[in-house]
Amino acid sequence: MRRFRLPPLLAFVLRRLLLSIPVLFGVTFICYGILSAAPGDPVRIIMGQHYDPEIAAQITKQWGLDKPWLVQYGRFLLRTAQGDLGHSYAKRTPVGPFILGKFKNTLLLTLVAMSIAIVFGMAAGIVSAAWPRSPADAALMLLAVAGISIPVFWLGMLLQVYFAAKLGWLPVSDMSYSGDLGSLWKSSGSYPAFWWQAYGRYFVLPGLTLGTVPMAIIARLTRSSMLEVLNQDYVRTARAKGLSWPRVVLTHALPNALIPVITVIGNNFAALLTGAVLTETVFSWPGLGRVMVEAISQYDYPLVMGGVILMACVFVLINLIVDITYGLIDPRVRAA
Amino acid sequence: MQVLRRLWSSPLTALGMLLVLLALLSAAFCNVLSPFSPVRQYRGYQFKPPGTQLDEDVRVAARAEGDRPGSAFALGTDIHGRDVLSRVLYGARISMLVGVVATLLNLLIGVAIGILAGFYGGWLDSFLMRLTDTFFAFPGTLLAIIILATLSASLGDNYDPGMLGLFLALGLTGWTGIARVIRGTVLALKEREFVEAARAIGCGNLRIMLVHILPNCMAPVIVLGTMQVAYNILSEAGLSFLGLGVQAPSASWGGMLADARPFFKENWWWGLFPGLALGLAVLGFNLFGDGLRDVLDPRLRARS
Repeated sequence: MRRFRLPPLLAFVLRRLLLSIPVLFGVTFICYGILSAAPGDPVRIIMGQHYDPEIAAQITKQWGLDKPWLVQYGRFLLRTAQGDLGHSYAKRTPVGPFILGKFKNTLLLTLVAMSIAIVFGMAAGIVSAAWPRSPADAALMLLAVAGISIPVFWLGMLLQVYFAAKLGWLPVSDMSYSGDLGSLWKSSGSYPAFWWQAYGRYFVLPGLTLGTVPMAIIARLTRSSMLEVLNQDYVRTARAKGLSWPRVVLTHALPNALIPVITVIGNNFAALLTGAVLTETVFSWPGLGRVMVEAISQYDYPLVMGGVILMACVFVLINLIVDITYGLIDPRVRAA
Repeated sequence: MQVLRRLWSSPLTALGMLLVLLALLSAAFCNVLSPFSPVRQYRGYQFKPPGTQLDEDVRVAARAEGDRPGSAFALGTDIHGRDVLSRVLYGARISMLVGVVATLLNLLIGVAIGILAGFYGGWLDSFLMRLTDTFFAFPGTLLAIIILATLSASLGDNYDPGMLGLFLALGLTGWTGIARVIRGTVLALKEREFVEAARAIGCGNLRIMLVHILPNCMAPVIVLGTMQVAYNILSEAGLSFLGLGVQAPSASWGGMLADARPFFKENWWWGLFPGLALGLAVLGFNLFGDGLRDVLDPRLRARS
């Protein structure tokens, strides 16, 4: 009997997805455990001044908050397995659609930030590595180390004060639109001037702020990865047969230096999607990070847990994509 | 000694060491160095620009109340008439304390998990690495925020977890990278002859791990530790910026920036100097860490 074999790529993806299940379990377990340790009573916080013990007891019972936390956690898992993330306590809407909408806003901003980071970060790294120890290299790498050291929220404040408040080129913040940015994009897309006025210009400063740290990290890593490759024999061979230096750098060295850079791009993408809290706060961006911080302070357990699950899934998915990309660009990995 | 000389010979590393030294000095001696009390509010001196002179009679009155004021607000004052310079100097104390203590906790957890996983292998390795993956998959600073929020809620309204909360929140979350690198290092180390030799003369597992393997992990520990301090300082400032860190009126750089944000355009000094201090301190630790890495453990370059 011939044994059935999955295609290697599919087998790899399936294996990785199975391996991520305990991680997702762990994330929800830790999060639920810590949240339940807090003595705060979500019902009391939501009712605020209108607190009424009788109604509070009723709601507590309805939400299952009177049960031990392991029971609550079990119920939560069952519900989640059925695709239901529950209702937000404070927002009084279903968690799933709500966080997906906010996540889209964060995703749009992250895409802008990462595009800036990849283009300028890699360019800086390549220039530095192609002419090491030149003044350009020194200047770019000093900028890069400054870039990983600058506090993002402070950078955001400086950009706001200079480009928005002083020069008046760009809006300070306040999209003044807290709904789904994606639909606004579609509705304003056909008139470029209107699109820029209502939409595009709001992305410039937050995108730059959010993109600075990954830009600096990508620049540093591209440089060191390129330097390693540029020392290889085949680079010398290519140079010896008369190719120009820029050509050798871009066509012979760069593709081979990309692998560690792709990992870092993936990691940073995941980090931005899940950790843009500070930038979102400075620019009043209607994204997931701010919603999460608010939800934590309000003991809005369903919202927090929904957000944490979404972020952990995104994290697992991006890592998977990075690993698949490896296989596609590096034949050595594919063979193994 | 030779290491120190090599560190000094690179101008950027030397700059880094200088900045680190400045930050540490400011943290240790802020009570002596600062010209004003960091919390005393000088009425009538709100939002004064840098260099504003203090009236003689106000000075005398303040001195009578136990403050020892300087003659001028060198970096201006904030919304409550507090001296920005003194608050920046005191802010160093919180940043350095949280940065260093949280990093020590990171190292303790990360090194312990890394050594155990690498040395024993097998199911313990699998379990510990899945645990590390789990903490690594936790979104951004969210876990730190959750820990901090839970701690302050558990302690009630009357007690502020302050620095202890920050130590725990950052100490329990930032160790995953360290654990992975140490595990890799241990995997290579345990195949070496000296480990076999130690086993041959009858050393137990614990002794081999602590006496023979741990000292050989010191290079990555020092390098990663230095960079982790930078990361933890930034995280502390971020948490304080969100209002989750050390509470007012204590002077922390992140908290000062949060307070200064609405007034930044007109009163630039209040928002500029704490950010500058924060950025320079982090830059110092990053440059120092870069230099240490190049001297002690160049292989780490690809990972950071």
